[in-house]
Amino acid sequence: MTRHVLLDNVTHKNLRVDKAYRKGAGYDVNLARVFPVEFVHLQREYPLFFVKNTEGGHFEPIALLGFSEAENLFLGDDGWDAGYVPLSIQRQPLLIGFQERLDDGVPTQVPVVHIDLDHPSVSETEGEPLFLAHGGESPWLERMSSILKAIHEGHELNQTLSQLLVGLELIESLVLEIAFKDGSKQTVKGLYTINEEKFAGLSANGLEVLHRGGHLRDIFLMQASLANLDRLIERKNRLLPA
Amino acid sequence: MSRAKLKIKEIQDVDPASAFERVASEPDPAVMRGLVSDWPLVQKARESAAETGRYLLDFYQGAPVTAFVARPETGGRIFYSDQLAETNFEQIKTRLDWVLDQISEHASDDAPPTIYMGSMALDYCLPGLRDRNALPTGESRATVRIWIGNRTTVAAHYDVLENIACVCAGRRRFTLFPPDQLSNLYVGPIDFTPAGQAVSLVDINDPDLERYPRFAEALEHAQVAELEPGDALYIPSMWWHHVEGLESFNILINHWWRNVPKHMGAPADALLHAILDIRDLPEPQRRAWKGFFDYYVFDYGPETAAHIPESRRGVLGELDEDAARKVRATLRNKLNR
Repeated sequence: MTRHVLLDNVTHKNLRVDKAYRKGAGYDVNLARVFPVEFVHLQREYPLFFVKNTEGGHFEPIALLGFSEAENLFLGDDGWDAGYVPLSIQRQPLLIGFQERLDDGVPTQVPVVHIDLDHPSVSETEGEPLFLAHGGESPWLERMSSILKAIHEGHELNQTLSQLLVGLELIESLVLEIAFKDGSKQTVKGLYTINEEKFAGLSANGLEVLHRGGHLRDIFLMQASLANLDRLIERKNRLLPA
Repeated sequence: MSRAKLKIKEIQDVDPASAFERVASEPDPAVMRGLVSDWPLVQKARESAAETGRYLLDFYQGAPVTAFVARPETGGRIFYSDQLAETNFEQIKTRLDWVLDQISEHASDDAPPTIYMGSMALDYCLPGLRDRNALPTGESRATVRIWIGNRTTVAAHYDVLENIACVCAGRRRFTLFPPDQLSNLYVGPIDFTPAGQAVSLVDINDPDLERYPRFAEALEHAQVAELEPGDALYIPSMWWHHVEGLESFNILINHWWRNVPKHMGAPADALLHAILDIRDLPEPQRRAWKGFFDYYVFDYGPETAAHIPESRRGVLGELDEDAARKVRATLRNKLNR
C-alpha cells in the first residue's frame, strides 16, 4: 500500500525516516528505475536493461535486482550489499509530485516533495528527522531534495534517450532464461536491451546524433553493465542449497 | 455608478512608442485615451465579438490555459465564499477556444456564469499576436499579459509592478486608491488570496460602512476612470486597483515591469520575514527596530555609511549583483533552522 501526500513542515513536523535496507522494509523489488547520471556507478554492480513504460510507451532504463517479483538480491543481513544504491531507492519514502502554478503568466507544473506515509521507513521514533526544530529542512531532507531534483531531470533525459534509440531502431526485446545451480530455472520477460548488431552497423550520422547528447557514453555503460548478470546469478546461487 | 470622488488624470499626445518613458516621469495614475486605437485587435473588437474571437484563434496554437469559472450568483465578483472559507470560483485548466465559446454562449444571459482567463502570458497563449498588439517594451523587460472574460469584478489589490493596461474589447472601470489608503481598505488575508494578491474585503459597489467605516475615507481618495477599446491606463506600482469588466466580452492586454535591478526580490517576502521575527517582539524592542529599519532601509542615503571606509561598508555600501548573491546565501542559511 502507498499513501502519497504533499510533505509539509507542520503536519509532518515529527516524522523520521529510518533508512534500514532489509527485507520487509519497503525495498523488496526486483528492479529499480535508473538514470544516465548514475550509469557510471551502476555499471560496476548491476545489469542494466530497459523496460517499457506502460503509460507513455517509451523505454526506461532499470537496474535488475532479482529474478522474480519482490526478489531483491542486494538486501543482505547488513543492509544494501553494494557500493552504490540507485537514486530511486535512495529517495524512498520521498517522491516527486507536481503542483500547477502560473509562472510569469505561463501555467507550469512545479515539482514538489511528496512522502509515502505508509512506507515502512516512516515513523516518529526511528531514524533521521525530516525537519529541524523550527521547521527548516534537515540535512537529510536537503540531500534528498537534491536527489529528487536529479531524478526529475533524469526522467527528461530518459525520454530523450528512449526517443533516440527507438528512432534509430536500436532497442530489442530480450527474454532471460536462467538455470540456477540447484537445477531450477527462471524466465524473466519484459526486458529490452540494445541490439548489438544494429549498433555496430550505425552510420556516422547516427553515431553523431547519439554522441551529441552524450548518449553514446550511456549506451557503452549499459552494454558494459551486462557482465553483472553473471554476478547477479551468482548472488542467487549462493542462497540456494548446494 | 461609481462612488469614487475623483477622476483619474488624463494625459494627451502620448506616443505609443515611448509610453513607458513618458509614464516614468508620472508619479500618479494617468489615462491615455486612444493610445492603442490602431491595434488590429482593437479594430476587430469594434466590428464584432465574433470577428475578435476569430482573430485571436488565428494565433492560438493550443497552449493549455488556466481560467476561473463561477456560478451566476457570484455576479462576476472574483472573491471568497462566506467567512472566507474558500474562493467563490473554480480554477480550471482548459483551452482558449473553450473560454471564447463559453463567453459567446452566455453573451445574452441575464445572469451568466463567470468566465475569466486572467494574466496569461501573451507570447505563451497567443504567439505572434504581440507583434502588432502590444506596446514596444524596449529595455523595460516588461511581461505582457492578456485577460479575457465576461462581466467580472476583481476587488482592490496592489501589484509590485508598474503597469500599463490597454483595453482591447468591451469596457473596463478602474477605481484606484493611493498606497497610503492601506488601512482604510480592510485588506483580507495575505496568505490566502483569491488570485495571488491580497484584496480589499469591502464590496466597492455596495460598501457596508457600518462594518467598514474607514472605507468612507478611502472613497475620498479614490480615483476612477472608464476605459473603452483603444484606451490605456498607467497604474503606478503599489496603487490599489479595483477592476470591473463591464461588457459581456472584455479583453485587456497589460504590460508589467519594474525599474529596479534584477537581483532585487519581492518586497512582500521581507514583510513576511518581519512579521515572523519582529512583529511580536516586546514593545521597546519593536520600537528600537523601527528605528533600525528607518536608519538602514527607509532613510538610507549617502550619509548612512559615510563614516565607514568604503572598502568595509559591506551591505551598507552599494549593493551590486555579487553583494546581493552573498546576502541571499546568508539569509537562506539563517532561515533554515
